[in-house]
Formats: sequence, structure tokens, C-alpha cells
Amino acid sequence: MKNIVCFGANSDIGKALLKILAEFEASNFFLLSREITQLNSLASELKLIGAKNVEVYEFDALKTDEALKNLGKIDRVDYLLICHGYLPKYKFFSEEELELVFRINCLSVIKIIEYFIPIFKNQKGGKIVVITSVAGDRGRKKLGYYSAAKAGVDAYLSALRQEMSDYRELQILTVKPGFVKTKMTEGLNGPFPASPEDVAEDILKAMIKNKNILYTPWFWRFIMAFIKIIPESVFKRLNF
Amino acid sequence: MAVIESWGHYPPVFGSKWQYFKGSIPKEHSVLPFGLGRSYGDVCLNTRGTHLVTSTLDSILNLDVENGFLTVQAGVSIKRILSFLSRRNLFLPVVPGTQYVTVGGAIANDIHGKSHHREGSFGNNVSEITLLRSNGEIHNLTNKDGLFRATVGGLGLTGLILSAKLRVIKIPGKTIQQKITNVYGLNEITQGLIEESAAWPYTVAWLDFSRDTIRGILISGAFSDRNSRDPNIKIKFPFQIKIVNKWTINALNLFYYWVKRMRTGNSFIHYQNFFFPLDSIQGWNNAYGKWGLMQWQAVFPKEPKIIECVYKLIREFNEVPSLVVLKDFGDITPNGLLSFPKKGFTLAIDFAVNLNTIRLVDRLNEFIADVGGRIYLAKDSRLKTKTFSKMFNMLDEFIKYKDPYFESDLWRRLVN
Ligand SMILES: Cc1cc2nc3c(=O)[nH]c(=O)nc-3n(C[C@H](O)[C@H](O)[C@H](O)COP(=O)(O)OP(=O)(O)OC[C@H]3O[C@@H](n4cnc5c(N)ncnc54)[C@H](O)[C@@H]3O)c2cc1C
Ligand SMILES: NC(=O)c1ccc[n+]([C@@H]2O[C@H](COP(=O)([O-])OP(=O)(O)OC[C@H]3O[C@@H](n4cnc5c(N)ncnc54)[C@H](OP(=O)(O)O)[C@@H]3O)[C@@H](O)[C@H]2O)c1
Repeated sequence: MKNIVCFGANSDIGKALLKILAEFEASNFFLLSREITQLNSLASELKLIGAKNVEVYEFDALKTDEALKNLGKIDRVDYLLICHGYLPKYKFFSEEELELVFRINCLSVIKIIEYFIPIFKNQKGGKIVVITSVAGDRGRKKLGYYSAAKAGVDAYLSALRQEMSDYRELQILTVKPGFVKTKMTEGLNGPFPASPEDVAEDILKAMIKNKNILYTPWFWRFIMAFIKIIPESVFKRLNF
Repeated sequence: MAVIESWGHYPPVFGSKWQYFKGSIPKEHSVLPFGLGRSYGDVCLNTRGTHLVTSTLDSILNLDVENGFLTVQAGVSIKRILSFLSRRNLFLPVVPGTQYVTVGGAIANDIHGKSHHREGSFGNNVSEITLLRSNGEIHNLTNKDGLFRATVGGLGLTGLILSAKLRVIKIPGKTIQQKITNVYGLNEITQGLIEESAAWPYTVAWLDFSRDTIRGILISGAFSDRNSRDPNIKIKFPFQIKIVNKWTINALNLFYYWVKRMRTGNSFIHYQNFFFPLDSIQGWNNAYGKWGLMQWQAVFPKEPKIIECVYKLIREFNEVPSLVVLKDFGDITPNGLLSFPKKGFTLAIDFAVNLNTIRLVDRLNEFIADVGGRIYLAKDSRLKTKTFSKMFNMLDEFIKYKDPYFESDLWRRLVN
């Protein structure tokens, strides 16, 4: 029986992942989001699927400390899932937006992880699953802040992996989805759209196989490998 | 000492705490005795607390040939006992499908073997148990005590078994006379198994679920006075690499079927090869990769129709099990309050774990609850509280005897 803590539990990808985990093993869930009513209905669904116990908490990434205080000490955390994220609508050169994007996508994520690190150290294992994005692999116009914030988390996670390498049974999984049809991408037309359920199943597989980095769906790994080797002198002229 | 894991590698575990049992029960965490981890599911796991590894309880204490009793400490393996006994033309009346099981584990899951129709389950052949409770008390129990009945099949939750006095039987030699029969279709299989069980002390049926009609092999045996040397061919499978899939399963089923078919009739075989064929490949569970395997085992009334329904459900889910075994449970009532065996057929089916097989097993569990059957907790990790209490009606009685410091993941899942 696992204790599973999920930040951004109301995100479409988060919900799909929680449902699959509830089915995979009877566990206790701690769900966090700004939308308590939504969480309550998710909670009853998870129980129906197989969750043992579900608790819901309020969480605003702009007030991360507060949420962590409310959550209090949990004796054991087997899986920490961080799924919240904020994609600004085509804004660049806006200080207000810059703050929001970094605080939600980057600062709160790192804060949350560091809050739980002592627990993971103490129990000598666990899984930290963080959803970043393929956007973090290379910055693109209109997505500048988002890419930078996600890249920041990617870099932090790879540092953390080295930092914690003595803990052989601690998995730190960076999840890099491509284009997924969710609330966040409503109205957008991205390439090769995937469903949150597909992504969730990939994440479960990666958790079982103790992977470090997951591109999902799988072909994004190759797309991004290609995009990353394009010389900057060429890349800057590209328009996609 | 290896890491704490269950045999099926499902549910996945990490960072589990354990310590050797050194004579007393530590009180800072909840505890659970751990034998050789041959249980498939979470009955042998206590990820919130610590595991007390019983390999320190490794002595054979006394052999009373005259009255036919052997007293051993609870960490001794069936393998050691059998090699000790068989040299003296003695044997245990009940042995499981692997020798790598401790006496403590055999009692705590009240295990059964190919002899159930004659000898009942392991607990029917235990005359005394010495049990250590977390409050430091040591109880010497006989089968008249309530605590004895709770400890047999007690899932390691009533205290730590220190030692036990086991009944032993006389055998003429180390060799089994084996009879192999081909059977085709469910009626022939079930009828055949019942007839073989009336005639032979050891029976089992292997079934092939990979085709449109179920076919099977009946294997019956009895000890004979021929002698043969102990087998020592051992293959190791040390890495977790998934090689079990539909192709290999089909190939394996076909291979097994034809090998057995070619040996139709009577033959002589060492007891290790007869009782423990899987033991010749060490770590075979690793062939299921990181996802692991589940064994689903149920007992239900002796109606071929129920097997038919199970088979159909499996086909509906488009799965091919890697192993299907059918046994005949006789009339002997088990001693334990939560013991698995009861009169009926018992079907054990191996599946590679994935989301589809998990859903399938959930459906099978509900089906078995509906037909008045029961799931074997030593193999289970999917049962839900409601179906569990429907299947085990002595639960309330059992709870009175549970030790407050002893916990397991299975118990948290099903009761707390
Ligand atoms: C290949 C294979 C074939 C099998 N065939 C059969 C079969 O034919 N029939 C059958 O019935 N089962 C069978 N099993 C299941 C196996 O027999 C049981 O799971 C058995 O209980 C495992 O014993 P263990 O020593 O490994 O105990 P573990 O799996 O380590 O523990 C099992 C339970 O026993 C408890 N326990 C262990 N030691 C003590 C103690 N000293 N005091 C109190 N509680 C204790 C544990 O707490 C736990 O609840 C098979 C398993 C495998 C892998
Ligand atoms: N969809 C894609 O194509 C795609 C691609 C790559 C990466 N991702 C990443 O995947 C993750 C999940 O997103 P999704 O696609 O499932 O979209 P989503 O359904 O819109 O989920 C995003 C969630 O972020 C939460 N959130 C936003 N601002 C927040 C704040 N200030 N405080 C707390 N929570 C806040 C929202 O939670 P509440 O409003 O419920 O509180 C929302 O449920 C995100 O990290 C996203 O960046 C998505």
C-alpha cells in the first residue's frame, strides 16, 4: 500500500495518472489543487476504482509554503507527483507573466521537492515524478518563459539525481510530454496530439521500470533529439 | 540476505526495513515475520514497519521416529527438512510446489500440496506450536487452543512462531512412481482428476488454456521403494528481464504438453522432480521482468462450469496464462480460522502483471465471491475488503487473537 501525494491533482494528465495508479494498487491518496470541489469528485471516483483512502487539500502554487504547512507531516510518501503547470497565452516581454510562469512552473516545483527530500532520505526510497515538457529541451518563440521555466526544472532534477545517487531506491522521473489534449492546450493545434490516458500509462510504465527521463509519447524522444542538434544559426531562422 | 520482496514482485516495494529475529520483538515499529518470501503478494510485506527475518531460527530440534514427530525451529526450510527426513525414509505429509518455504511460512499460510485429498493442509499435520507474542509471552499451543487456530493460516499476524512439532510419514524410498494421463475437455479433466485422487496419494492436473478447447495432463504419484540419486541440475535466472509474453507462453505450453504426452503412462522420478519441478530454475520469477507476476488461486465447488467461466473470462480479456494448475481438495477441514482450503477444486493461474491482467483478476475475484468460493491470500494482492469478508467468515473471531504489533500490507489493504 502506497502513500501518494499529488500536486496539481486536477490537471488532466494528473487525473489520468491518479486513476491508473488507483487501479494498479490500493493506496492512500493526498490530492492538492486550487479546485476543492473538483478534487472531491475525483476523490470519490478514485475510491470507486480502488483507492483505500483519499484526502484533499487546497494548493495555490503562488502560496506553496502555505499549502505545505496545511498538508503537514505525512509519515511516509511513496510517490510524489507534481503535475501543475501554467502555459501563458502568447505573452512575452511581460514582467507580470514572467513572474507567474516561473513561480508556478519552476519555483513552487523545486520548493515542494525540497520539502519532501528529508522524508525520502529517511525512508531510503520512493518515487518523485515531475511533469516538465519537451518545451524545456529548446526554447521557441512565444514559449520563451514557459520553456525557460521547464528547462530550469529539468536542470534541477538532473542535479538532484546526482545529489541523491546514494539512495539507490529513490527514483526521480522527469516526464516530458509532447502535445497532449488537455485544458491547458484547449483551442491549440499541436502536432501528434496524445491523450492524457496514453501519457498516464507511459508514466506508470516508466515508474515501474525506474527510468530517469521519459518522453511521452515515445517518438518525442527522437523528434527532440533531432531538434536539439539543429545548429543555432539555422534554428533561429526557423518558424514553428 | 536478499532484499525484502514478494515472489511476484507485485506490488512493487522499495526501501523496506528488516532485521534478523534475535529472540525478542522490537517495539519501535510494527513488525511482520519474514520467511523466504515465497508468497506472491503482500501477505509477507510490511512496508510501513519492519520485517523480522527468521533465518536465525535454523535448528532441527528433535526427531521422534517412534511416534512420527519432528520438532523444528520456524525458520528451517522444507528443503532441509526433506533432505533430513528422506534419508531416514521419512517425509512430510504436506509439501508445497517449492522447497524454498520455511515452516513458519507454511503454517502462517496453512499451505497445501498435491496430497490435500488424503492429508488435508499443513496445519492439519502440526501438533504443537510455540508462539512468541509482542508482550514477551511464549505460548505452547496445541490444536485445542483458540490461538493455535488463529496462528494456523494466521498470516504472521498473531505473533512469531518459534518452533513447531510436525507429523511425519514413512516412505519406502526417495522415488515416486508417476502416472501421466492425457485428458481432453473439461469433463474428462475434472472426472479424471476425481478418479485419480481416489486411487493415488498425490494428484494434480496441468491445464492448457491457450486453445479453443481446454486440454490437460493428469499427474498422479505414490512413493515407491526404487532409489535414485538426488538431482542437481540448476539453471539460474539472475536478471529481471521480461521474456514471458504470449509467444513464449504458447511455445512453453506446447512444449510442456508434448514432453508430458510422450511420457504418458507409468514412470519413476525423484521426489524433488515430482514435487518441485520449478525449483530447478532459480529465480524464474525474474523472467516476468520489472512488472512481475500474479498468481490467482481460488477454491470453489466441484463444478466444471465454474472452470469454464474462468476460462471464458480470461479469453474475453484476450490473455493467455503462463501456468494453470488444478487440484482436488478433499473433505478434511483445515485447523485455521483464515485457512484457505475447503472442499472443492482449486485452480491456480499465473499471469504477467499489466493493467489488463489486473482488471481481469479483479473480475475473477468478484466472480469467485459470487459462486461461494475463496481466494488464496498467500497469492493475492487484489482482493477488496468487501469480497474478503464475504469469503472468510471467521474474520471476527480471528481479530480477537491478532497481535497489536504485528501488521502487514495485506492486512492494511483488507482490514484496517
Ligand atoms: C513456486 C512456488 C510454488 C508454490 N506452491 C505452493 C503450493 O503448492 N501450495 C501452497 O499452499 N503454497 C504454495 N506456494 C506459496 C508458499 O508456499 C507460501 O507463500 C508460503 O507461505 C511461503 O513461505 P515463506 O517461508 O517463503 O514465507 P513468507 O512468504 O516469507 O511469509 C509468508 C507468511 O508467513 C509469515 N511467517 C513467516 N515466518 C513466520 C514465523 N516464524 N512466525 C509467524 N509467521 C511467519 C509471514 O509473516 C507471512 O505472513 C508456492 C510458492 C511458490 C513461489
Ligand atoms: N498539455 C500539454 O500539451 C502539455 C505538454 C507538456 C507538458 N505539459 C505539462 O503537463 C502538466 C499538466 O498539465 P495538463 O496538460 O494536464 O493541463 P491542465 O489540465 O490545464 O492542468 C494544469 C493544472 O495546473 C494547475 N495550476 C495552474 N496554475 C496553478 C497555480 N497557480 N496553483 C496551483 N495549481 C495551478 C491547475 O490546477 P487547478 O486550477 O485545478 O488548481 C491545472 O489543473 C503541466 O505541468 C504542463 O505544463 C502539458
